[in-house]
Amino acid sequence: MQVSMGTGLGLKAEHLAQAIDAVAQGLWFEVHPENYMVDGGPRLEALDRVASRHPLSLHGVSLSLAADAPPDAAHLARLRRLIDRVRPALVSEHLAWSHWQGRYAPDLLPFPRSHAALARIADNITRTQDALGRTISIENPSHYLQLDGHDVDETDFLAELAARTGCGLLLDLNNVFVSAHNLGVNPLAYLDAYPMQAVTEIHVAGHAPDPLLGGSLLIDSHDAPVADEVWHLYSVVRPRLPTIPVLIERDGNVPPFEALMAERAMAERLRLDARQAA
Amino acid sequence: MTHALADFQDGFVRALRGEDGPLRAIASQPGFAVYHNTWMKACIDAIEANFPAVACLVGQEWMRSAAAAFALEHMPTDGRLTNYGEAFGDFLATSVATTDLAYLGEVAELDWLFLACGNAADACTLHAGQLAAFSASGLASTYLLPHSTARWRASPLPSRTIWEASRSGRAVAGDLAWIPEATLMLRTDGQVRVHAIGERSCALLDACHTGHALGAALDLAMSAGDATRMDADLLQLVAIGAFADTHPSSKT
Repeated sequence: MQVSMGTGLGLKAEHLAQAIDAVAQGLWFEVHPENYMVDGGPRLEALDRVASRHPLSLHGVSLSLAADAPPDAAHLARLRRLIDRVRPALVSEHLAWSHWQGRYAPDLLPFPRSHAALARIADNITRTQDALGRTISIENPSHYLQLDGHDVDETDFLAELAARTGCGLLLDLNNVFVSAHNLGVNPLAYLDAYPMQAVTEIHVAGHAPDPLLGGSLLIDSHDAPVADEVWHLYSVVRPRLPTIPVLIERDGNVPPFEALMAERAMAERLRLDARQAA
Repeated sequence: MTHALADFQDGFVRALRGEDGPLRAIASQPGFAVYHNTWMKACIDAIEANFPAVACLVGQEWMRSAAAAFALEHMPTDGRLTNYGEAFGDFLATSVATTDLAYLGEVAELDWLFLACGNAADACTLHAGQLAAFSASGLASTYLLPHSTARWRASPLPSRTIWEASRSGRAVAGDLAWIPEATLMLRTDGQVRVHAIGERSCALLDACHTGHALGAALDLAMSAGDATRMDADLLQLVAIGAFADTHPSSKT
């Protein structure tokens, strides 16, 4: 089914009922599949109803593709069952790890981008795509640490993953801004080098200064409206990606659904303006 | 300095858990606290969300402190945080800090049953009329399977009364009778319903769940209490939908 995806919203459980009934051109929703990997019940049924009315994206947080281990087969099977059930338009994951030696740290952890890591992660993405019977997209991470041991720039690393596996890329502009700030690099230079031809989805979100360190360290907190700096990055990439769907993420201090829809309407206008200009 | 990926991940997890190791230079960077705080906060938030009756009873500060201690001892094993905390009841029951709150572990078990019941697979329900078609001997040899959403527990304490009060934000009555209570939860029309049942009924559900034919299951359950009311217990369980209809296509 060909679906029209303009500007979407990250969907929180408390907004499920409103999301089902929401009407707006290009509207779509994204959820973390881990929250719906259950055997049954009202939450899963509500997601069915959302999926019957709107394009849906499953944005995973726990496949741990950057771990030095193959993806968990049981997790892949659960994800496949959910994909077969709700038939999402998009499926994505992070360039990060979280599962190691039987323990899961619910976070998106960093790693040295070595050549060996590139080979391992490419293999993990291939295994994942084979198990899911479809391609996935990989999101650029937020960075808070200066790590040694990088052999490859992140943009080249992502381009190589896309080339080796056929995966798409999820360009998270908030992560670009936060990482550039924290690592002291230029976000526009990062975007210049980014392999835009592989992008399937864009994320925008808000961030916050670290509660202890203040503005010297930004946190990818998703607990505020999309930051002006991130809207600026969006205006930079939008002409190059006029047809790519964009998603507003919000995970903390979640406002009423109507407020999110209002923020979404503004983003949709930007998207349509750029599309007409392209 | 470079790290093999596996070595890096070993060291990073040790550092996240506050242990010394080869990544101490990385762990000393200000940004490392973001990772430590994020995974701990996610675990604590999940425990607080999954055990609302416990949280209501002990208050936010105590709850988050207990959840942090639990997370260090029992890291999640996969990404389904809506399914995290199965051992939290045991953890509370054995925690030194809860010796004056002995019921907390039992209340946590009921929070857990509520969660599991709400997320269980759907199934058709066995109705009383379907049992009426059996002869007495046929009934004894039939196998009843507890409904897929059924979750039950016999507690030595009045944990259901405490749990229900806490879930609804009420104070527990001062004249609470400290007697054992058994509880059955079932999901009906998308909502978890809580039923007071007897200890014998719990024993019957246990026996059916472990694969005994109904006759044998009733015999086992009778040993849990007054045998004269066993038929009534069975009828009550059937009436509230505690058993699955394992042959729904045969329904008329």
